[in-house]
Amino acid sequence: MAMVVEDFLNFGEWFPGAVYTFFLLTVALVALGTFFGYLVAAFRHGPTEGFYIVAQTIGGAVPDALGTSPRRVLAIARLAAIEAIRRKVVIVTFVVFGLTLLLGGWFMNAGGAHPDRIYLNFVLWGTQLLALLTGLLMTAFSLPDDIKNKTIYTVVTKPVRATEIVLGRIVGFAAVGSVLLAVMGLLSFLFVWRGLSHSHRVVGETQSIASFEEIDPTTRLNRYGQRVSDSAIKTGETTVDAGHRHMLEIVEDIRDKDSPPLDDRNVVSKSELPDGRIRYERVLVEPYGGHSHTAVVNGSGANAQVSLESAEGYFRARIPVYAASLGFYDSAGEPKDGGINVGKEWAHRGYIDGGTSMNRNSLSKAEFVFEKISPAIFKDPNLLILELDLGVFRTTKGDIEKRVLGSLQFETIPDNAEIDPVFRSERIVFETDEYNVQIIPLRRDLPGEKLRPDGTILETRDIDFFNEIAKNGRVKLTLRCEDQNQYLGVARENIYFRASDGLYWWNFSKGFLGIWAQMLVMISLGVALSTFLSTPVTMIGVMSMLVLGYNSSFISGLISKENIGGGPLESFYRIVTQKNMEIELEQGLARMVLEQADFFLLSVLGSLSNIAPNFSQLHFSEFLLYGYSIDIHRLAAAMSVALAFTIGLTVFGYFCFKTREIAK
Amino acid sequence: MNQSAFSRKIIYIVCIGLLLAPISMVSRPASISPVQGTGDSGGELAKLRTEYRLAQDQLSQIDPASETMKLALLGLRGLAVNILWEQANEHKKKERWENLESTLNMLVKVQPNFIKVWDYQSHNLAYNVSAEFDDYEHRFYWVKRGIKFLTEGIAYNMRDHRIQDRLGFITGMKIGNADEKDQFRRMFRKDAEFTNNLANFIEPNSYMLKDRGFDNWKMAYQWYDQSQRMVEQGETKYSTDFLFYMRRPSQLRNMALGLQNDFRSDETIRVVWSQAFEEWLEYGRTRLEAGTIEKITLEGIAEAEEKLERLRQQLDAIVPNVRNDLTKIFQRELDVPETHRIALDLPSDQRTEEQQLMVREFEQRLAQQNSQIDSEIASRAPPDRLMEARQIRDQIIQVLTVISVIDRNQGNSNYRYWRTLTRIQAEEESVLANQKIFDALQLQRQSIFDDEYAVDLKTKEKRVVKQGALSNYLESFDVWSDLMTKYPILQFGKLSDDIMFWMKDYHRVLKVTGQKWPKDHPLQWVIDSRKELEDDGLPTSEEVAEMYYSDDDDN
Repeated sequence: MAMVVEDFLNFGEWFPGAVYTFFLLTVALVALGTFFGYLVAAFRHGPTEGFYIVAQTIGGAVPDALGTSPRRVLAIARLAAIEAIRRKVVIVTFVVFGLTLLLGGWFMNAGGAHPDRIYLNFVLWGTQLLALLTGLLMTAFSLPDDIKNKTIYTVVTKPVRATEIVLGRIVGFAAVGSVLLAVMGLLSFLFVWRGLSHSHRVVGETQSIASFEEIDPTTRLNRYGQRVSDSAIKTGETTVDAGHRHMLEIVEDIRDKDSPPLDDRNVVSKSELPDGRIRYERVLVEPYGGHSHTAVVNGSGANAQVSLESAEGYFRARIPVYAASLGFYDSAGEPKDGGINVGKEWAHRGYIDGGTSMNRNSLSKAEFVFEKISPAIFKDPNLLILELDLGVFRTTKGDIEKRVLGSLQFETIPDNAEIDPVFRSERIVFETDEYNVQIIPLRRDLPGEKLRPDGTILETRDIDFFNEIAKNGRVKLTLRCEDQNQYLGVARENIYFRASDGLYWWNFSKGFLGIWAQMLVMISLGVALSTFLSTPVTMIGVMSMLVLGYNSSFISGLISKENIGGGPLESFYRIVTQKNMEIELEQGLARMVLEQADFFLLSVLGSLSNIAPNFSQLHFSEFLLYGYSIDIHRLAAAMSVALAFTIGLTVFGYFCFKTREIAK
Repeated sequence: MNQSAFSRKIIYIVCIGLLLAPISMVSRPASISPVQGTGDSGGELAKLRTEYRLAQDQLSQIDPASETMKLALLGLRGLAVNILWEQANEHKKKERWENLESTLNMLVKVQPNFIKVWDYQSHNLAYNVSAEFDDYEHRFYWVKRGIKFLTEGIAYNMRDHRIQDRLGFITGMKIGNADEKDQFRRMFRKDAEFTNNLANFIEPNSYMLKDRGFDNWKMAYQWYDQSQRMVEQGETKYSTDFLFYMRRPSQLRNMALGLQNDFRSDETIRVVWSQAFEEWLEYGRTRLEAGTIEKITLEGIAEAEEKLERLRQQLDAIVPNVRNDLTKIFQRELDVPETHRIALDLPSDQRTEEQQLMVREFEQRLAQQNSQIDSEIASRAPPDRLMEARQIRDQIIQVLTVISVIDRNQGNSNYRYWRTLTRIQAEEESVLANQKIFDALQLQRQSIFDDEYAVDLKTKEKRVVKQGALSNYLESFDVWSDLMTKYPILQFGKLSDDIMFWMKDYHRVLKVTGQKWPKDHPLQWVIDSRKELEDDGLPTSEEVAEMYYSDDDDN
């Protein structure tokens, strides 16, 4: 199935809001920090002296910030890097990673439908864990140990600023982490590539066409009792390698004489039909778990040898063009906020119906509006590839042997509906394939019609997708369910144009950039906290932030007003009094106290979740697992978040460090 | 100050030492010599572990991966289990099936000996996840994943038959009884890859039928067989005798029904029916724990009745010439209607389901009366034989209880019905009737409804060259009618439901071809008798008569 996209992030739209939140949070933290700083200083030195100390610290920050020298920062960074390497944390991490890769393959159950996901998940999860752990260990021990061993005096007695000490350490550790991550990334890539590369042989005494069986025309089933494709004339199978096998089919492929030449390596025979068309028989390999192989035929006749090339399709970085909007219409053709809810707990997809025997012509449909469509964004503008991942819901058993039918139809969105003609393609009817990404290749010239603005047909002919339907860059795609009593479910990311494929190694690197961003935040956090906390407390602090950061969406869910059953105290009250979530609590003081206390607790939780970085925003594993290119908007946002946290934590670390005696 | 701190530490250390001593005594491990089988049986905990067979090596094979995982969690296993269950639910909710499966694989590593986890999650995969898919081939894939998942639980729970029971249930019921059973069974028959994967557990040839491929019901039979063997070897049984011993023989009957549905009946299928009958009879002869003083057998009614008769004779010998008078007095209180009398006069195999209910209810009333009569007779015994008479009366009550328990259990398992059905299905005439039905259904699918004739131009003699669906149907109904007359118990239940279904098909063909429902339909009497309890939508005798009467009027 395709990747689920919860938010369609656009960096241009996201950035101003993010900057605003960052600004608000900074102001709030500065105010809070100053207040608490003053409280501590006043407690220790008296109210007046305390005021001066705070003013002095803040005042001193300006020259420290302005006078920070990159040269000195780099010098400190170098020292930090050397220190990190001497501590052997990096080497130990690397050895653990190496061992994991060497032995990991033994324990991986790659026989399932998607071994690529298992391999990728393993390396991404392992790398992320080790990188974050290394970051934590490097930073948590560094400053506290220096202070404890008094080696910090060898630095602070030199003309270096506190900013440089904090920033230098972040830069130094980040540099070591980056090198480590780069090496881990390279090894991971090789591990995945080696683990997934495999080939198969044809099952049978000879590796030839003779090993294929004729298909029984009455049943149209293969040797495992499964259906074969409509054009199949013979079937065979491959050996089980890497935990799976592929079914093979010899299909009949009839083409016009002047049709463009095709890859003829899998052609078994070629003959000319009486009407001049060419009939090919070619060997096709049925895809399994997102990959396939190319069959190569050597020789001719029944003794033609068939061999399979190495796996292809695992290393994809699909660049999807998602719709700008999705609208649903009910069976009366009225627009609705969402599709029909068929009773699934997870209402991500909205459903459309295919009508009933009482209402055969249901107008229920899902309308996707695509924008900025142009030939330039497609790798091959003559071949439009649509990918679908639809949900199917049956209200009657229907014909079990047949899949539910759906249809797609393209239509112009005119700039001026009163003047401009409308181009509309014919309905493209297809069989659904639930929980699998279906590929629907379309020619640029689609059979369809040109309509007057009043809806009357002007002419019926092949219409050009780019020059006529999507002339203004906008196009409407309508999805309908073509089977009575059945439903099709769809979400915005479930239908998209696969415009082109990005470079896989670059996408893989982008995935690792996400881990790098997480590591950067982790290092900044570790350094900032270690300026005033001991090693164990720093570790606990960073770990808590990590837990908070990874579960920020869960926390947001807890805080949300829609949470039925109330906050923690009210929920506890309901548990002990055995009241379910729906029962209204009786009005009174107890309820008021509970609600107010919950409000306070949830506000604290909310603030905490804002302070902790949202690590899922820096997490791109899903893209790699499902084979989608990580878009630049998301990457830019992730980098901005990492940078913002690094800056914020540097400033925080600076002030904390400054308040300690040693830095004065 | 320092002195007191030091002595406090000493006291703590001594206390710790003192506490350690009983702990070490209680939890001392056993050290039995593998050669002589002698040695220290260990502390109290070790003894209890051995007694209740809770040691890991007694529960399952030791799996290093699972043990490492449990150890690595440092006592946080409960937390990990909760997180994994939560994750599994979330994956299921968000339809991430592969993630669900890998989470489950991890979950069972930390809870390997908790049967309900295997049970629940295998059902989740084979039933719930499978049903989410629209395409039956994908559904079948997930049923197989559920079975595969469950087989992994065998090594962790070698002494618990419930895994095998669940495997039997999924293999049998999910593949053989789902909406997609035709497709599932078709694929199962040919799935050598799947069956080879399970060869470590069951030899594939043991559930393969020549020319018919692998049979899921026979595989289910093998799973239940393994389960039964485990119990026979002394493992704990987690089910009542009555249900536990019924499972294995039921699979053979289901197998025969499945084969009959998929293929034209022949000697192979007849043999399966015959085996099903033998197995069912063996179940009927198995001594079952049923809450009575002695174990019962479902076939034991005749024996119990014989014993009852003997005991009554003994009682009558002590107190002669009383029973008849008492019976008359007591029966006068019971008003026996004519319908009950007819039913009572029939042998139990020949009663309809309705008559069976009637008899059962009547016998309960009668049993109460009879036991009262027996008590009354016993109370009239001469003083020197009163004790003996009371003992006989008590034995009579026990036998009556046994008869009632057997009767109830026979009813619950539909024992008599299946015994009759499996027996008659193994007869030649049933094979013929099944063949006719199979042919009729095939011909109907090909739209060949009427017979094809050849006419000899000289003699004008008509000869059937090829039978159509209608005549095949009728010939089959003829045989079923004979069998149902002979065994009235078959008038309700699976067979008659199937026959009604076929008759509806037959009715449809008649309508399509513009023909009338025959006046003398062989199964007309069954339709009429069933009509009182349920409407099958088929014409009753009156409706048929009316149909022909109006036609006669028209003429």
